Amino acid sequence: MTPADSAIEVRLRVNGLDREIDVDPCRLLVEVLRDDLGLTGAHVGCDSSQCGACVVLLNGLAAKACTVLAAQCNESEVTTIEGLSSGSELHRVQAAFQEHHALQCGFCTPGMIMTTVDLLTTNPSPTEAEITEALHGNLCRCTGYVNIVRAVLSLAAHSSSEGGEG
Amino acid sequence: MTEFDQGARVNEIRHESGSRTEHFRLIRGDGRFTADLRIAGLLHAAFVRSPIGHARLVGVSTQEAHQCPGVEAVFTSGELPALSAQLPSPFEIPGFDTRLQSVLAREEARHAGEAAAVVIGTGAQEARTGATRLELELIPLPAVIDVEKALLPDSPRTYSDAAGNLAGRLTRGFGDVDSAFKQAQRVVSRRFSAARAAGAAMEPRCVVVDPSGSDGYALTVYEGTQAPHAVRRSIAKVLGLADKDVRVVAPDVGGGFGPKGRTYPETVALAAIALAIGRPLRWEASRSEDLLTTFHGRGLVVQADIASDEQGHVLGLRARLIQDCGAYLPTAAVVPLNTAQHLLGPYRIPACRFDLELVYTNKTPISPLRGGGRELGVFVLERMLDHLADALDLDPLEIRARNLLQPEDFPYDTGYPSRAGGTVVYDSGQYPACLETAKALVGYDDLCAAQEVDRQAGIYRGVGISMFLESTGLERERARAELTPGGRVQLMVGSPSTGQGHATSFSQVFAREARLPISLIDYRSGDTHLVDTGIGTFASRMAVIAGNAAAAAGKAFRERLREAASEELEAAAFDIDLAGSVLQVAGAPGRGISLETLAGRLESRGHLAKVAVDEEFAPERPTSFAGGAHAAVVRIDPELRSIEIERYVVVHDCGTILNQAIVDGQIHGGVAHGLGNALGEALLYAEDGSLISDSFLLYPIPRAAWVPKIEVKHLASPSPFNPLGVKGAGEGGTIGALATIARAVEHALAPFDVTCDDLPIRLHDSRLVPHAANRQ
Repeated sequence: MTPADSAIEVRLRVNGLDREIDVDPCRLLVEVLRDDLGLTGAHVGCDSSQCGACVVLLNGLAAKACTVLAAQCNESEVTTIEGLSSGSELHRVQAAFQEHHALQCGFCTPGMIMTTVDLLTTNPSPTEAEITEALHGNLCRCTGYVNIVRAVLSLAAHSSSEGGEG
Repeated sequence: MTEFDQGARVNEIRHESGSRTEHFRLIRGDGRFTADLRIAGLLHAAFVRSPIGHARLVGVSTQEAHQCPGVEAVFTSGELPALSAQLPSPFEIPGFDTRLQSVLAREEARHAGEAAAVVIGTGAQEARTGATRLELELIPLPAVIDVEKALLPDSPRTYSDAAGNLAGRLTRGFGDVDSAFKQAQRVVSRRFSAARAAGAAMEPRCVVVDPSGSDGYALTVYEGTQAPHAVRRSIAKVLGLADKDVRVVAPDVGGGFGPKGRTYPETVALAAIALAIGRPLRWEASRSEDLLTTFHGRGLVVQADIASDEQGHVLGLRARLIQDCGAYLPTAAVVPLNTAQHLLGPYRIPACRFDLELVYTNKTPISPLRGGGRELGVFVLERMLDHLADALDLDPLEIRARNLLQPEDFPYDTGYPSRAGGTVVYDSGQYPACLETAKALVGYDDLCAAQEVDRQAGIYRGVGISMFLESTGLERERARAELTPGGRVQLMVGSPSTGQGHATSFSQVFAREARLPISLIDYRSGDTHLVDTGIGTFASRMAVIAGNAAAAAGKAFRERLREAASEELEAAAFDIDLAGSVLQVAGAPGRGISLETLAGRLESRGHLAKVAVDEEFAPERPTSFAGGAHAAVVRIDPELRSIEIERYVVVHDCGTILNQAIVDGQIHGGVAHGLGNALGEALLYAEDGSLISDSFLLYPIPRAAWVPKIEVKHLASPSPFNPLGVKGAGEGGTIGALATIARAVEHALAPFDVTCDDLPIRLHDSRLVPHAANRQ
């Protein structure tokens, strides 16, 4: 069966733009975002839904775009890392990651940021334990998570300005 | 340079931390990793691999694959000469039985994941589907899995034409070890092992090859590699091309950690096929493919003996190192030689002998992996000191203090033979201060004193402190800089950043020497087209070597700018100062020219190239030694066998710090990697040589909740071996973590008979039986 035989028309609102695309029913949302829509900010770091490099917001909630078929997302709203801010303005989570040096190679970073956006929406004042719990599905090999947790903590509503370490 | 000058320099540079210039793209999803590249007419490759460790390949049935929709071509080793060629090794050792991997397997597959065929499809899915329809006819052969059993006479053999599985033996050492052991009042002997581990960079390997010639090269290869110039050399050699015909570009690289510093069969296969069919090609590893085929690290068994007097002064050290090399020797003995050298650590050791045995097994080849073997040398040495302390009933920190080198001992000639010739010489350090600082920061004495009371309350808490040493640097690196027509500066370095923030650190160093604002500098690296030479981003060498090259380039660039401005301003070059982006005649406020105007004028006369520099840094002593101490506090629940790391402290001395945020980040990540190795990561093989741990479910790397807040304290002993006084910082976090955690766990579980000499530490495998003396 070739894609042309079985393609399904899917309507998505991606980063505020309405998109109509024909997709093979077995293609993943992350593949369609990356290959069809050119949104390569969501990365594929594993094949078992463990790493979280592909996290996007699906109807406002963090979702691993490798665990969702694009065809399941008809009439859904998707926000990817590219849609989080516009122009030279940064989203406050992006700004906190920059400020706290919460990234090194940057491969896991879009997923980390999108998961954090979701966390702060549902819990504006997470504790450190709640942050590490929320990031359980996002793997990073470079940072040891230390500065990621520090960046997210700095955004917690109860947080006073977070000092760097010695 | 006096010590005072260098101390002053440390502070000057250290205050230039600030945000990294590469952050902005990456946090907005604008990074460009290899898998993000889009080229018109791209075809996709999928590899067909042996699922087991050892098999005779008797045939390949390609017919069904050919018939799959979207499959364009199928290649086996016989289709193109390059596909049956061997991957070259830059490190062959005379007298060794060196076996190198061919691009595709021919008669035998010698590790699970070894590829025997490639399917080319119009899309990745088409290629993968085609690959599932291609049948390898394999006859299973006995697989060599256990590295110690591999040395027994009745073991199966990785190579049927060899007498056994030994690739070669090396002996390293100095001094009279035999008499050291004869004179010793105390000898302690122990066996250690470290499981194989994965780099597990978050970006799986990916290669894109473009044979269109649109940039003037016969082949352009994009790959997230740590060593584009070495990859270029291998491709050119196998394909019979000149280096100048091949361009290798490392775009954004999603982590390296050592294994991405090698040339892989997939890269060469894609290059050969793309050239043959004249179409651009791409291959992206799945995570399971990456865990299976990207070279592994660790995989070592050590039998060690330490000799001391009754006060715990070390007299001699002996070790037999058995390295599981996997099926091929792409990096020869680099890893176990690093291990052996680091068995000396920061101590005065009068005599040593290390016997290295490199052993073939039916597993993925071994390469350096964060630590590069140093971590296991340090692990074994520090554990031996702990065990010696226990045997002498001394505090483990006291035995370290009695043997540490003192600040006045530097430069310290260890007497150990160096790979580069001569002996290994340590440059500088303040090891006793590192130990004392770690001890004070973690509250060692109080923790030890509280232990008995804690235990009565059912709390098992332990503290471990150990020292580490890290050889950093090696070889040479170049930095080029050019004034652009718009008045900006392009700074270029050969080897790529794989997350270390080179754009920030090296721009900063260059800008400071050139006296230019860092905002004027555009940094590029990892492209053989821009800088024709480069060794690679590994061995914690880039700050040491490329950092100094960037500094030299900055200094030279300033002179070129002044010369160019002197012509424009009709003043002597030495009278011209740089202030911001304006070149100014000293003492004549009206006489200045902006960089932009200068660039425009030079450009219009065709003289822009006058303001260009190309500086190589290749120091006489290319290795500097970072060092320090790690301390960990763990709390263990003996019922659940759970280990919680309550505190983790690193006292780190990497000489001059170029950018503290970046160095701290390297230490954090390094420690997390070491915690993974100490407490969980192990690549396990089944009897038939198939890899069990082929996903992040079965190969769990540390997650956020696992890693404690890592506290870092810097002490700085600048290296006298390079102008900046820099020592590398990429691996010390990992190197020091293994023994530190092992001791902390052992200390917490002192009432039970638990010894942590095998990595990873598996409490679930131990019987936690209280010592008789402790039973109520």
